Amino acid sequence: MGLLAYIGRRALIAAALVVVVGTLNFAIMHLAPGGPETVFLNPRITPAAKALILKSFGLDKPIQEQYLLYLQGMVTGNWGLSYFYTQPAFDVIASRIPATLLLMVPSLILTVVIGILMGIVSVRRPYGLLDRFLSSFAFFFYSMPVFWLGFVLLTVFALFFRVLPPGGMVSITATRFDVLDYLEHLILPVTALTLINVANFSLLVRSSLLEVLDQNYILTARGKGLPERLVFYRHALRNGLLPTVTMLGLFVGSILTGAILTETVFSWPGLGSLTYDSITRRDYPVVLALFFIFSILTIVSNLITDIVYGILDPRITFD
Amino acid sequence: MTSELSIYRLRLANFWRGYSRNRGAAFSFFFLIALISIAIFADYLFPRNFEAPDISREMLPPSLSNPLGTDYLGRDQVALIAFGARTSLIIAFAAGGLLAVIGTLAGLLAGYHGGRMEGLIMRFADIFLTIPTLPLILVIVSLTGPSLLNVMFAIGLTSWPVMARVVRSDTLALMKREFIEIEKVMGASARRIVFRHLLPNQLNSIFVYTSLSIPVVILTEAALEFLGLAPLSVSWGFMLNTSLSYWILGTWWMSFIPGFAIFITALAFYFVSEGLKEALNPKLKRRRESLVVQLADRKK
Amino acid sequence: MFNLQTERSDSLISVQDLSVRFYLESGVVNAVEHLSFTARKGLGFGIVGESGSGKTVTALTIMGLLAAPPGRIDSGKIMFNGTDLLKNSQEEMRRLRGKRIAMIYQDPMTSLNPVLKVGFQIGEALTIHEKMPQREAEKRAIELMTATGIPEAEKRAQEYPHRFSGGMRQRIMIAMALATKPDLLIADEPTTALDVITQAQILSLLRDLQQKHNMTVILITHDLGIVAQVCDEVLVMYAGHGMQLDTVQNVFSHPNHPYTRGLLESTTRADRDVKRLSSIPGSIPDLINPPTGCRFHPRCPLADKKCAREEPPALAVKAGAYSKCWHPELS
Repeated sequence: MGLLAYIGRRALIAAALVVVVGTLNFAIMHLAPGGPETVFLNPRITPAAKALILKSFGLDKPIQEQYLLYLQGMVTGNWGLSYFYTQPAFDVIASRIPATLLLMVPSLILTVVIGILMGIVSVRRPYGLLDRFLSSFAFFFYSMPVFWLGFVLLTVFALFFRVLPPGGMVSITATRFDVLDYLEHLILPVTALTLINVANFSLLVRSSLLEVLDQNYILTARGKGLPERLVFYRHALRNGLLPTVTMLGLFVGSILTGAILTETVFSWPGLGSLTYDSITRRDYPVVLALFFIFSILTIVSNLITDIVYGILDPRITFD
Repeated sequence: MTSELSIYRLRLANFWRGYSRNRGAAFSFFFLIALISIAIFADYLFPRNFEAPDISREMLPPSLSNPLGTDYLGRDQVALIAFGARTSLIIAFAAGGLLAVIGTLAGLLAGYHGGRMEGLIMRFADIFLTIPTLPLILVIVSLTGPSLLNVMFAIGLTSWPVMARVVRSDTLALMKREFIEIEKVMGASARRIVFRHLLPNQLNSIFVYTSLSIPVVILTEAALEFLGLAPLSVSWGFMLNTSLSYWILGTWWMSFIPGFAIFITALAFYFVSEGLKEALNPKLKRRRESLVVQLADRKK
Repeated sequence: MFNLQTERSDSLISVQDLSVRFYLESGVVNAVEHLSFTARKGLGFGIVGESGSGKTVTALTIMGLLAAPPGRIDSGKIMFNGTDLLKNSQEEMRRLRGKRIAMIYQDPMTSLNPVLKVGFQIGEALTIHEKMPQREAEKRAIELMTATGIPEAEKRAQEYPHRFSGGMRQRIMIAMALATKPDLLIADEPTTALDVITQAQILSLLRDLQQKHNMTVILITHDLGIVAQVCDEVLVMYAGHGMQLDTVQNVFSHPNHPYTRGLLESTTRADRDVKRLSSIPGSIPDLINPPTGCRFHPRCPLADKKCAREEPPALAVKAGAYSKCWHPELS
């Protein structure tokens, strides 16, 4: 019962956040010069059609009603109509989600796994060669624009040495589902995304581990005559990796944002390049809807990491 | 009068000694000075019509006459980079200043008042920390139009929470000190305590935090421009945006050069802030020493 | 320097002329200098001193837990069961630690691993040192918990440290230390972080266990009152030096050292009327630049030129006791 209540509480907060995001969207829409009409209406339509659509979207109603209608729409999946595609924004976005996930999930996994390994390795010898190398590594990639890195990788591997494809998700010539083809196209964008994030993630792991190693209970463990290996893996690591679970939530946001930029560089047909295209085309309904989905993805992943952390940390009791 | 000046110069000399111990920071400092100078004096360094298209020289790779190549309109990239520096630096300082002011105020108020106000402010700040900021900024700027002011405000208004958090925790730490208690007992007004005691003691840290946030501002602004929302016609991010369509033709310098400029500028600011951190925070001793004390003197 | 503590047949651990220094960027810290003492089997041995006197460093050195790069053992021997601990390899020390020599620490709130069950932590040393299977170790852990006064041990062994109060956690630490039935238990200020009532309970528990198992307990503290309660012999340390070593009775009835005398006079006594609490003037010396000669001379009422010039030898007052002072008779 306790666990369910914990999840419920967290989910409620998440839901509240979603409402806040929707409100933000609504507010921005109305604050834009030209008003909400620019968002909902294709500027090229006739005045008669305009009046009709205004009515159907309820834009002639008082603002409070509009707000509620809008929220209701967001919840039910009515995210407006895309100018460009003349389809519901929701459908456009839904069709592009898989591609983005295909990019994000491997990056996330690689970031976590390599990050943890690098963090552990550098902690074995604090301030040693490897450790300082890692810290400078992190600096470097923290300041590096991910889209530039993408370009550099493309230039080197697709232009100078033509070993990898210059963008896109699949080759035009591929007729059936070819895993190798997908992989070939995945390597560079995933590398770009991962490189930028892994350095920082490993620094966080490292500092968390260092903090743990300074704790009194590590001295107690050593004082019991436990072999150093056991002290590190059983006592230090378990405590040190716990905070990284919560940090993961932050990194999902970072990878998501990075995906927007990376997809654009690599012409990867996901939500990111859709964002770029929609901004260029001034397809505002889609832009707004994209912000919404990005927020939802981040909020949900934060929710998941919160719950996982709650389960893993024995100090968090559910009663 | 003269003694005040010499004290000031002494403090400056001391500061520089501590700061320049970090060679990366010292080098970056001079680099930034050079960059800012180029940005300011760009009008004199380059011909007036650098923005004019020159069809005959379109997309030329780096050569002696165009050390950084030319872009799709035939314009020299050296000039473009120099003028593009203006955009990045203006937004970096403006948005940085804005988020510093808002963040500091929010942090001070939250730390001083505590209770409900603190809860309110921090909850509000948390919102910006959980939703991804770039999409939010994208929405704001694309809907309100990509002007310099809009970009500046959009970035500043979404980045202050990080600052607010650290200022708040520093304020909380200060609040526990005795001299604050004394002021309160003496009946000092909130404004006095906050602005004459809490704030001045944190100036060093605030300075460091602000400079730490500038790389992110630069990268965010570059990302905005890259996605097409450029406030000024000549900016590094926008150069990358145009290079997108032409990359397939092999014009790698059109994307490499401006991207590299963004990278090293952000890196330079980062080094500078690290140098500031070491110079202004004397209590940050080398970790090695504290490890000793920990292991040997557990009870302290 | 002086090898005054010859090993006696009933000595368990004998520290001889131990010097430990920390070589830091800011200077060399003389944490412990020419320290000698012997703790006999089955007795309570107290080490008393202000903070910075080198008590904890001594304990960590015995355990082999000293941070070796900045810290260095510059001289001395620690004889334990016929071997010099300082000549042991890291691996040899590790095998002794937690098995023959155990230690409990000052802050029970942070000395237990928060993500491991209490029963597991207590039995862990057994699984390593005695290769005991997990289930048996847990059974032993429950027995130990009961022996150290933790009610409902069987249920509570499955819980995590945060569910226990400070006093309970210290009992868990004691149970953990006693699991392997060590010959020597070092208790570093075990009650400083606890309230007075719990303090009394823990101390009495320690005394009981010590007598029951005939275990030597080295109790480190800054509180003379505790020493009087629980110890048979006491070493008074100051600025890394052993100033006086004697039985508790002797130290309290006729302190042979001005520092000890000063300490005694600055505590309240139940056996006589104390009108004003005196305190030793001055403050603890800087260990990087300690005073010349006798470390205590700047604060000593009996100090003279000789005290400032030459370090006094540890004068054997009688068998197994000494006082490091040029003027022990006067005090």
